[in-house]
Amino acid sequence: MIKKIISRPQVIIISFLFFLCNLYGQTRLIHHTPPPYGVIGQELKLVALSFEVIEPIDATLYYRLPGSKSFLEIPFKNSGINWEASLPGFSLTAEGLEYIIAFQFSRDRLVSFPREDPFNNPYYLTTVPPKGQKKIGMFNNLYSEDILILSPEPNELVNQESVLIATSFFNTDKVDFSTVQLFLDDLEVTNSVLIEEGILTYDPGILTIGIHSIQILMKDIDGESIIPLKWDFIVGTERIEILDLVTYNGRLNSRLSSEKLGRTSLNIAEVIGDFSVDVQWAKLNTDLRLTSRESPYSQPNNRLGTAFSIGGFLDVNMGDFYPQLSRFTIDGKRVRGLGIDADLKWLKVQFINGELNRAVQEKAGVNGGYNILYDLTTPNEDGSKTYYLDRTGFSFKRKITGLRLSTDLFSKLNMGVHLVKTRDDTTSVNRILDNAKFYSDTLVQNIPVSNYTLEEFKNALLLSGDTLLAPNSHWKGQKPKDNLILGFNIGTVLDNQKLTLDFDWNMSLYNRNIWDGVMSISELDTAIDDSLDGYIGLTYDGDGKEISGSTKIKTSDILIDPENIQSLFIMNTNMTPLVPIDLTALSSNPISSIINMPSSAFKIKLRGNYSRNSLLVEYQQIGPEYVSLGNPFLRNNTRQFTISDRISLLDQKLFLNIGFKHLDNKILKTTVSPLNTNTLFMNLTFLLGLNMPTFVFNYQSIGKNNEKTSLDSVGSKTIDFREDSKAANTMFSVSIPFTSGSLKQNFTLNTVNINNLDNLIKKRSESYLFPKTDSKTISMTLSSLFPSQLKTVALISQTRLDIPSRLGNQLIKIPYIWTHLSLSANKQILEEKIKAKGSLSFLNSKSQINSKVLGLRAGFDFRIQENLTASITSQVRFNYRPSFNKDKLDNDGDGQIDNSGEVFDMNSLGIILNIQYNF
Amino acid sequence: MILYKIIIANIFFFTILFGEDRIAITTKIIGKAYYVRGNNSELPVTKGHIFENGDILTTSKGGFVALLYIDDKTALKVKENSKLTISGKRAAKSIAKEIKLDRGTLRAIVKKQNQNDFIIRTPVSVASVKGTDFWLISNKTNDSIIGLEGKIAFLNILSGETVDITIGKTGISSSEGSLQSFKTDPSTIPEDLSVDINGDQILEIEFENASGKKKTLIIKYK
Repeated sequence: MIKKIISRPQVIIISFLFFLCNLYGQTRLIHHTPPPYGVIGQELKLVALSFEVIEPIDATLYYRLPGSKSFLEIPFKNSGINWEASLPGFSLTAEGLEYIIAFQFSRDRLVSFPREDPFNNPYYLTTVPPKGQKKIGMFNNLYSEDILILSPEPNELVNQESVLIATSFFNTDKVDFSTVQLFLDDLEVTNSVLIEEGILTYDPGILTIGIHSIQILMKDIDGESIIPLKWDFIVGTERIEILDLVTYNGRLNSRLSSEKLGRTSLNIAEVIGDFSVDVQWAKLNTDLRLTSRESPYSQPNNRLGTAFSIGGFLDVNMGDFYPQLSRFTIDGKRVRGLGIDADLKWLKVQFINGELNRAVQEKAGVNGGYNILYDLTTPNEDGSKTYYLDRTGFSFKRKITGLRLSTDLFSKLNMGVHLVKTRDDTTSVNRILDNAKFYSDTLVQNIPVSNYTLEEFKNALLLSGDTLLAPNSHWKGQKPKDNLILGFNIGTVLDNQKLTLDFDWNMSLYNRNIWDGVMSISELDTAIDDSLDGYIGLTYDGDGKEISGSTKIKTSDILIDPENIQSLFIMNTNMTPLVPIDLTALSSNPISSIINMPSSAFKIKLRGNYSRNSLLVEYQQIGPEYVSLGNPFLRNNTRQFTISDRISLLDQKLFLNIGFKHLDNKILKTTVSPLNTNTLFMNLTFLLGLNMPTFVFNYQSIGKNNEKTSLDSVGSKTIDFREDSKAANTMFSVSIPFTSGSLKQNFTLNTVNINNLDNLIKKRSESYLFPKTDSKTISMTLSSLFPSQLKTVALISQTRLDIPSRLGNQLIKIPYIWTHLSLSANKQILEEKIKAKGSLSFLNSKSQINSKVLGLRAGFDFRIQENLTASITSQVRFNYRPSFNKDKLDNDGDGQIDNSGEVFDMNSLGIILNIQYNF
Repeated sequence: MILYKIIIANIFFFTILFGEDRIAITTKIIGKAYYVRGNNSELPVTKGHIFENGDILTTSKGGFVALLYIDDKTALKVKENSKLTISGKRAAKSIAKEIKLDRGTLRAIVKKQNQNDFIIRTPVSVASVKGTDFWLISNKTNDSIIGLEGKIAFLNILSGETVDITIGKTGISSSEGSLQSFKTDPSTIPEDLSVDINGDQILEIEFENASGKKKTLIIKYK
């Protein structure tokens, strides 16, 4: 339908033409019967009939709202006999409609309805409201449905205290807000209503229980009244759901695997489960793992732990759990025992008590519990020998107790103190193992070479006239240890929680051998010097005079008697440090002495979140003598400074992470050849959005130097231990999702390059071998999802290492190249009850020995029931080494040379079964 | 006096000029919740509070906030210990809605969006919907999305993997880049503190006789 708007000048022209037509003889008529009325908002078809012999050139319907100056026009369509045109529904309003029908014939003859001066006297059509609608009268029915009722919903049940009346006028711009009136239960409350940017809100306070009604009266910007908005709601008590008193859920998973790698077989059976019970005011969670790898000859692989939570303020852990007090004490290492975590709002208490390691008496097999130390064999005066039998393969039970008290004041200041004590139990290891076997070879004379128990060996030596020394303690291997850590932390939040500052300080006492127990004050006197003179460290010359400059600490000044605190920490000469602090420097430089205590570890961290920036400035120092048995992965004798910023740009689509880290071991001034590591890093991640490519670029430059400037002499040789190198690590990754017809695919490209540079290359001798390896990796992956729900992943990658080596006097780089191809697929079948999966892989290795590995993997996942699933997976890999074919060597040690078993053999074979039940 | 009125008028003018769009209203609040607007300090959220584009909402322990967008009544229900930024660009006919969820749990009942998707971003994932109902739980290590109705396109921003989450499915997106979906365990669906679970309504009417004895009539209806 083509609509044109006729302007006033055009109306004058057309009217003049009509006048001329009438003036010069419009002798033909059109027949049109106007409808009695039009229905507001509904389309109306008008029909006209021409009595002319010839067809009209143009037949047009002109219409307008009463009072308008312009006409809209719609062409008539010839339906055969009649000419038809439809008035659109929006044109029929309560105000009625004016229209004209005009037929144009050849020689500019025009025929119209009405006949006389139609554009000044168009036909007026009255309109009526649709059936079923109330008589609108002067109301306009357009706006009320555009007003959104936000709260409460019609007929909604609301709590007495939760009533909020709110509507949104977002979708209409015709309401005159100054005319809005709100009635609650027929009482006007307009004065208490707030209207802000098209949002009406009213808080009626507490209402009586029952049905209430709301009515909003308003007018439009033309002053016309709009149909009132009315709805009811109910005030009452919302139902409190009485939940089941006890709810529970859990999972049980059973796994069986049988794998052979080379000549080694590994068969494992495992059951893993977790179980939760919720009684509303308390919750119990239990985790369990039972595995066939459990062995009395090693630390436990089984796990059983229960966590009990009461009301959100008390957590109790029993069995195996993973406490975290701080990074410098214990940070997630498994403890078997008891843990309590109480959050009393102003005070937080954390307590742990249990064992880090369990006692292990011996290792499996011969020489698992005892071992003859031949170099400790001593000859006796009578010509016989005394052989030394050492206890071996054992681990002491290591107990741990920790306590941390902390407080958070007004969410601004947090402070805490902690103490962690760890000690090996020397009584946990059996002194004598009656059944442990050990091997005696020809170095033990006069008795047959064989495996013996302790009793058998004693008897055999007795018969041969020799003796045995088998001590019951102070064994040569592992020593029992003791460790005590004290510390505190303090932190604050600044600038409206955008800046946090934390300081954490700890001091450790470590005793690497507590066999001898605690030493007394008199033993302390002679700990450093040999004189029992009431002074520690005071030494004398040959004439008995004091040597100036030697340490001189009065034993009577020692506040703590070691024997009184032995339950807390065992002090003896094996203690590190013997004196925690440099006493000579303490008086002159107390702060530096305390901060640089060899057995201290501290960290100061400043973190800020400002305008898309996440800033971090951190300094951490761990002294050379700082030890935490609860966190054995802590690297001591390090100082590390880090500064970094993570910036979010382009509305969290672009992330930039830049930073610098310096690491060295120059805590002590006496450190020879300290090693400095400077790392500059940058990471750029660009996420365009859902179903769009993703780009990641990572760059790291790691510079290492040991400040050595000269060569070292080792014996008669000169060796170059100087280090000044730089490693540049570059990684780039792009992931592109795309669709090919009905196929959804994702392509990923990754490249990694590591290049090492020796900054001293020009100063090195020609024979120097720079040992660092350059590497390059590139990989491409294409994953596809087919309409049939088949998923495939195709991968191709290549890694190249150039390993420096020496060929005679020549330095060369030996390339090792691995090329990997794989294709994997999985598909749901049988109404998604079974998932079939498989993969094929090929690895080509090119180096001094060329080989190829072909791998096949296949399996099924079964959904037996809603809660019961099972899976089976098998895999096999084959080696192919063509270079072994004619090398005239027995490469596999089977006694045959160049047989087929050397060239082609099974690398690994395995099958895994898994069943899981959820309840 | 005239000068005073001119100054006040100018203040209002500049406030309107530089103030952000108002996009959502709080219809229910339980416990404590706070909001931060621009560089201002934290203020408590009250019933009827109107959120502007860019406001940061934080709920304390035990806190719950239900809010509605004013253009189409898209509902957000934010549970305790959550922190999110509410964004919405007002256009003529709709508001382009986006939520940045730093941590916590929220339920979104999204009405059919005409033009732009409703987007929720977390440090690890992006959920994009046109009209649906789902829960999103975000913590330091992973995000879980539980589909209740409709379809959500769930993206892990570290690996670029996407998955569609529909009714009865749960998606887990981890900070290591992994993304998986599996059947929802009903016991993991968080409790919505603003609705009656089975949809039944209850009317309680309390009666008191002349002697002061009270009895309550409970009418359960749908």
